[in-house]
Amino acid sequence: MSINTKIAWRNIWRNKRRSLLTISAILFASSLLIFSISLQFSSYDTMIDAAVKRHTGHLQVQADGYNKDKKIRLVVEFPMQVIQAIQDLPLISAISRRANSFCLVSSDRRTYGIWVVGVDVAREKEVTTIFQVIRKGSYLENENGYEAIIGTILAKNLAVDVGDELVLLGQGLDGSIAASVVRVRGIFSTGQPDFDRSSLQMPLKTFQETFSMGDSVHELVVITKDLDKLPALAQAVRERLRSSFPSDSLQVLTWQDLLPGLDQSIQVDMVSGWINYSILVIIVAFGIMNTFVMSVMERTREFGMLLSLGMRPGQVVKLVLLESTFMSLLGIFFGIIGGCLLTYYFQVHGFEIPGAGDIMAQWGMPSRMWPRLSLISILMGPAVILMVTLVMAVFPVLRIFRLEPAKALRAV
Amino acid sequence: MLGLLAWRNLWRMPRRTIIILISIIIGTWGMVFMKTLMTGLMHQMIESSIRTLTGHVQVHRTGFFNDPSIDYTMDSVRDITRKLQGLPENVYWTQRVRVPGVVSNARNSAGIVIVGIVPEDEARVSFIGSAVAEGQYLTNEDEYGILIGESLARKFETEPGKKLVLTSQDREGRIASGGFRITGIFRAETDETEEHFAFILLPSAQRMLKMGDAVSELCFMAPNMDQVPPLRQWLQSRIGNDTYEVMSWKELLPLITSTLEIWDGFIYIWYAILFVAMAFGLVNTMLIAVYERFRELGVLRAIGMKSRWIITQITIEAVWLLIIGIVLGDLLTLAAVQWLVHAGGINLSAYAASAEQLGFPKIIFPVFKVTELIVPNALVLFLGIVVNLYPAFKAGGIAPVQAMTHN
Repeated sequence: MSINTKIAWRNIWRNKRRSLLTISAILFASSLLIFSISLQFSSYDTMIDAAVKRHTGHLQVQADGYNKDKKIRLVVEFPMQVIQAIQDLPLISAISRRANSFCLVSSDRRTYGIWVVGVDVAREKEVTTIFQVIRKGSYLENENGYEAIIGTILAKNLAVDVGDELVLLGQGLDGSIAASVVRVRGIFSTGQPDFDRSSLQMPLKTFQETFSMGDSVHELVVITKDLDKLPALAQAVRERLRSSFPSDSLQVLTWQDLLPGLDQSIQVDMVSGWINYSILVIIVAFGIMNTFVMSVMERTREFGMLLSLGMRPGQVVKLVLLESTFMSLLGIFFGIIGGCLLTYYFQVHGFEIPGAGDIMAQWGMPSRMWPRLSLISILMGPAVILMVTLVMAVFPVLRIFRLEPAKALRAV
Repeated sequence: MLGLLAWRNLWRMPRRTIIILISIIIGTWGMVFMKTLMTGLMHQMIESSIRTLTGHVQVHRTGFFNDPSIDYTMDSVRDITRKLQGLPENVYWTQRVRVPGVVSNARNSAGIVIVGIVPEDEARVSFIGSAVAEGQYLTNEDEYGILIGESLARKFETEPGKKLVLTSQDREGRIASGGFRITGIFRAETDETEEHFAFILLPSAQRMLKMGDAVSELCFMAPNMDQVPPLRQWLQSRIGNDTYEVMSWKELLPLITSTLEIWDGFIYIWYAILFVAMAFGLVNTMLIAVYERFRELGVLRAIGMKSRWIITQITIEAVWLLIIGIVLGDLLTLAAVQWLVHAGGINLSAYAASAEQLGFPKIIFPVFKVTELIVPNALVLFLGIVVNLYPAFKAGGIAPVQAMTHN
């Protein structure tokens, strides 16, 4: 330990109370930031995961224009060839096929107009979690079966139960009237009211037959092994499609394209989060700056003496900055420990915002929240605070350069 | 006397005072400005939901709210409307049919809510009267007229004058459909609303659905929010019974009501966090002020100033600091709000899809209400005084002799 370090360390503890308060301010802000950022990021992941696992998958291949218009004639004509062309890409963990059509769905007593989805029974379990939330009956089994699973709210609205029949009435690919009778095999509840109100899924083969679609589908739904490498995967799929099907106008869409609302909401939330954090950091920064200013003013006489003894102003400044750095680092260090402990506690136990259940459900989120620590969430907040406090420490010490030893010695 | 002394003391060290003031000002601003944004946002969300057919109070058949189908209708409307004698003149109301259905043309179909309206009454109650952007609003002669939203028209590639078919279930459970001609195209705050509703005349809806003169709901608009609870109570006493339920917007919009409660909770957490952040600086500054004046305070004690006077004096110094900070923070907020309103609000159009999903308006205007300053300001002042007791008691406990020899 050099002599400077030793002196700086001792100087901090000459005024214990003030140093402790300053350190606590830094500690408080750092732990709070760690907790909030961990919570923020984990809730984004939960939101994306919930939406992706229920509706869209990470990536979809569709006919050009389908995402915007959802016209039944905009199909992927040879889905199996497309699957073959891309399935060996290492980042892909599963691919499923789907087709959609708007239909009138009637029970004995009620009729509703909703979007009916045909799903690849064998592969669908690898891309969605719906089969895990079947509350009554069971998931689709037979690829050719005239059966369907529906959401709980839809079941209630249609006044049907497992085993009841539903009549579907819509328009086929060729413009003909498409009609079919399916039996309710299962009723699921995702907890997301919009989805549970308007979802009916049936086997793809049956769907294709009913709507005269041949082998064509509307969406190829892809799940990736690594969400962080999604852009690279999208690019790879695009290239494969371009070389294998140069004449087809196929489109590769990521979940951001498919759910623009979700992606933008995350961005809006991030921006408002950063504004809140900045306000917090600025308030703490001014508090800290005040301590630094005071400690420099108070010690005018001491600095005068050091200067008279032959220390150069630069050395004194270095000493004082070393003190501030020590304090900041101490605050950050204990802040990281405190923040991690706090966050870890809730990461294990979770917590609930009372009364927020309905709103969270709307977002497809569980009512209990679990923050999750990551390297970024641990380091980002404290790093910003460290930078800000160090900048704040620089202003007051500039005064030392202007001190005249003789005058400073006589200062009160 | 002590107040004046405290005031002078503050300005003996202007730099210190100003730095701590800045942190109180920013803290107060952070609290109050956040509140104005939330108030504005909430206000706009409630307002727009109320105008989108919710109204202030609704009466409908018990069960309709949970299952808005044709199974729950109000049959003896005439008996009910007779009971509305004595309704205050500035309360507007209308009756509607509202059922789920399907709208289609040659190439497209979509699920929609069919709303049968009485044009001139409806215009006074909901947004639709002033929302028609293309073509005309409905009149009582437009037996086969229909109003649809701009977004739906775009998806259907259709325009005023063209035909649409509505399909729904009639009173007897059979599929009923009817052809309509587009009279006008309306614009709403969100695409969702534009794709969600289609308006036809009340008698046309009743005829198509074989409803006789039954309706789905009565919707009331009070002159302002304060009149809503009395209106609800009045209607409850006149009409409410086991068959018909009377609900105010708070009950009709449970999601907005619970969002409101959560935000209220959130804002207090925010107040607390900012206050703690401020408190460290405040206590530290006051502590420094006390220790710097160790000798001075010792002299005061020695010449007979009682320790509780010193505590009072230090507290008054803190109160001065807090009051100046709070007032300037409030003024800063007012200026920020004025500027923001002047600049056209916070524009979220770049995030339109998100605004839609969250039910936010596309442009948010903060609302500055003096009454809403009370809580955050009182909180800062009160808690500020509490945390300042620590340095104040330190100062009060100074022993004269020791202090005077202190360096």
